[in-house]
Amino acid sequence: MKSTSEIAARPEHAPAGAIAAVLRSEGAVAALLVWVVVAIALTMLNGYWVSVAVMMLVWCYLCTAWNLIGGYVGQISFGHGAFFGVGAYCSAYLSTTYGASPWLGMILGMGLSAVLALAVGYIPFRRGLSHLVFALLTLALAYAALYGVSGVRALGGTNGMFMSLDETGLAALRFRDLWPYLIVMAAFNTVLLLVLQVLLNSRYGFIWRATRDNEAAAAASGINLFRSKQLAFAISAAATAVAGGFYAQFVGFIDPHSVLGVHVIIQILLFSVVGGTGTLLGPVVGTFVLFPLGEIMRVQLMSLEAGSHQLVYGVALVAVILLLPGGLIGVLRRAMGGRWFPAFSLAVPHGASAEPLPRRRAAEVEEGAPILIAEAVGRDFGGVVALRSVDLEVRRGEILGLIGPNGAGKTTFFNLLGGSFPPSRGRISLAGQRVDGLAPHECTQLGIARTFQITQTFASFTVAEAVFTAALPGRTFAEARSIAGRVLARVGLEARRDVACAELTLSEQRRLEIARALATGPSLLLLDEVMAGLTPTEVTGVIALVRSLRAEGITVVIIEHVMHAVMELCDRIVVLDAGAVIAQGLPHEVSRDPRVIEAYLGKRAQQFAAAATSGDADRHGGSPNDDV
Amino acid sequence: MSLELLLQAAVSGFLMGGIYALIALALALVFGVMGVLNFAHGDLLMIGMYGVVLVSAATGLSPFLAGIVMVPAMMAIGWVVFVLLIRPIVGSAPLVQAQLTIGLSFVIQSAALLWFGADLFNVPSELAASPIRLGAIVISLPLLIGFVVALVASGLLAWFLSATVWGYRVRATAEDPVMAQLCGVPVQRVQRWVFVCATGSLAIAAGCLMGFYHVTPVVGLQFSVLSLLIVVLGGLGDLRGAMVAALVLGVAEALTSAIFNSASAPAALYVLFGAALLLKPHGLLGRGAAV
Repeated sequence: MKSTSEIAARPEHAPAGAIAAVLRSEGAVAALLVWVVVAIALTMLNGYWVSVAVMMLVWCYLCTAWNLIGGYVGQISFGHGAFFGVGAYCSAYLSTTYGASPWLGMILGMGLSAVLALAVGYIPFRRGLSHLVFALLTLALAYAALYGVSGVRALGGTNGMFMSLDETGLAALRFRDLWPYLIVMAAFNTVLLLVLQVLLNSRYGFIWRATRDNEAAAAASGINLFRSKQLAFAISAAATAVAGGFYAQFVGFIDPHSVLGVHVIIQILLFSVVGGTGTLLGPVVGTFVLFPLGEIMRVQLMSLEAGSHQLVYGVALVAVILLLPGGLIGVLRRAMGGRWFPAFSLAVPHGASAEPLPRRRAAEVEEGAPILIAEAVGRDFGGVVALRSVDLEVRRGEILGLIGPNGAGKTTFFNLLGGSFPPSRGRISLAGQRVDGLAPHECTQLGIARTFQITQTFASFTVAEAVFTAALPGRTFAEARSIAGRVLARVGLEARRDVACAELTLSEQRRLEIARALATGPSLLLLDEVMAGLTPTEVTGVIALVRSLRAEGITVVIIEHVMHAVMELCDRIVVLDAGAVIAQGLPHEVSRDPRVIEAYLGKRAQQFAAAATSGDADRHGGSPNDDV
Repeated sequence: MSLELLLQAAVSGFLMGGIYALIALALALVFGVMGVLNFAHGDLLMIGMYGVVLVSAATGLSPFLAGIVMVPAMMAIGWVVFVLLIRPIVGSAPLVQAQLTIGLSFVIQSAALLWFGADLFNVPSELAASPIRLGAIVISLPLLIGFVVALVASGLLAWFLSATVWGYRVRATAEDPVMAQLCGVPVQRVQRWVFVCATGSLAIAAGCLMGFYHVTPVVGLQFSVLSLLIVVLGGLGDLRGAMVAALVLGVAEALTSAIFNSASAPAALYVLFGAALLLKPHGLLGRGAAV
């Protein structure tokens, strides 16, 4: 496998290229594996083992479907048993009661599962609740479905339902022999794997993985986390329902326990985690290794109670989590090193830095006029007042320094501007439009970009991928690629573009933060302590970078404790203390303001400084309300 | 639907809730002190229940006493589980912990199936034959004793946590392990002992249950999910909340099955749980950590 490929980089635009990219991918290899199993089963195995192979492919399919939300988006769903059951019951009920084709039931089940998923995901994803809330909520869904169906007489209650056996053929999805089942299930697996591979090669692949790796950074990149998660959950649920419909026809009998029981999700988790989640091969390999092992155990332990063979599953799961993080595929991947499938390569011409960086909504405000206005903005956390009341304006084209002692509320203020949470009071407007209360990705799309004080990286991305992903929302692949190339050259990370984000030095991580912010195309850039902990040379580099960005017309607000850099860089400085503006003005004015000195150094130092500079103490410029 | 029937269900549910409380307190304490949500909690309880069956059969002790006899054995099991499985995942992502403990649950469940088979075990007791009658309401004696024992055990736990030096250490570790470490609390030892004692306390809960309940290899999963619901409903890390949630759940469980009288009845509990999770993310008393 070549490590870079022009073809892999442009899947959205050249159909032939897209097909080639999919064929050389993990998904294709996984699908090939499925057909190898089919070939082995049909040529070498007896009837019993062929039926085991069919069930293995059902589990393989379920794990692959679950892996989209659980592995790629990182939201562990315990509710997939419910979607499996919905598919099974829809298809069984329609075909036994109305004589409808099971295919129709399957399609209906897909729709119903998707709606169910969207309903369950709505509140946790809309409010950004934790992974655990989502996991427990889906667990509740699984149990509610299990018991709910048990009491419905039309669905057979706890006794279950038998399929009608009269019709056979592809339309009825019932066959006299076993081999057509195997072929049909292998075809389902193939379609699912290839569809997922196409999706993962598209913008959604980047959006989903970014959502999983770091929600804060993904939202700051302009990604709508709610839509990203809901889409993946709905697709995953709909795909799962198909397997349910197939299972009902294959086994010929369903009851609440067999299709809605907790063992469904537990086995999905087992096989996926042992194989390795977040890869297309992992769940396939996990199922192909564990399921036959379990069956062999079952045959060996035939004399004992049903279910005791599952001991091997539990032991495998515990062993893999403790000893082989990343699962079997994780081991293989580490062993293969660079020869693993290229996730993405950035076909950007080097030296494209001359072109200007993109900007959103740049032309709407005149140079020097206020681009951002905060009026009486405050924020409380429970009983703690983090920000009392801040009035502030940022003028287009300036570099504004925001300083103040630790705990003054600087980062809280940035979080309000960036949409991390809404202000408790006051209003914020960008170029005349209110932005307070908007979600982070909406702020980003309006042209406010930010960096984080504690650097936020995408653990599974290379530098180029991270910057590309930030450029992607609202743009085509080609545009995003071109922007990413320019941004990388601009911040000096071009040489490191194929390195994993997690391997960068502190200085490089800070540059990556800036690069991610720039790639979104901001007209207002918020930099939160990007120089902290850097060497003097590195600080000089950042100062030059910020200056060059301003020269392009990007307005910059910078929180910084490196005072000489603030004094050198900023056109104006605003000083916060205890959640309010205590001074603002030109750098040299602010640095002599007695209130500022008091806030930083205490009362006695302030008296000392006042005595030392009594000559010009009356010249201090900024007072909180001068410009408002 | 008569009023007596509802009252009967509410009283039995309340008594059952007291035993649930003891089970859930152990889970809540483990979560509070080491941040691990143990999905194998019910399976550890199930080991205790089988143990009580064996001890009672061998010695003729009542299940409540057999539960107390089982405490050291359960503590030893807790020690082994902590050292081999729990300690390596303290501080990992919550879902890694969930998956590992699900694996453990699977191992225990399958092992129980291998060892004891799928048959139902219980401890025959003459106590069940002499119920207490309060007007129209009948109270099963083993259930009442179980409730009292569980209440005493929970009270002892509350006293330990609020009035002893080691209790302070446990609470300090739950509050902020790093800070506790800096203040000289031996955090690792506290975590180990909390897990060991929590597992030990499950023996007492198992004794309470076996006075009137039965054990099969699947009750573990059932109690794992149940205690998980209680701890989340009560608010993660909030022991008083867990206590209240256990009683509420016990009553709600009994009432829903009395009112709906259908196989669907438990579904109502899970729907309620989902609603509570979304509407009261900090637990019933609003004092737990957000889930």
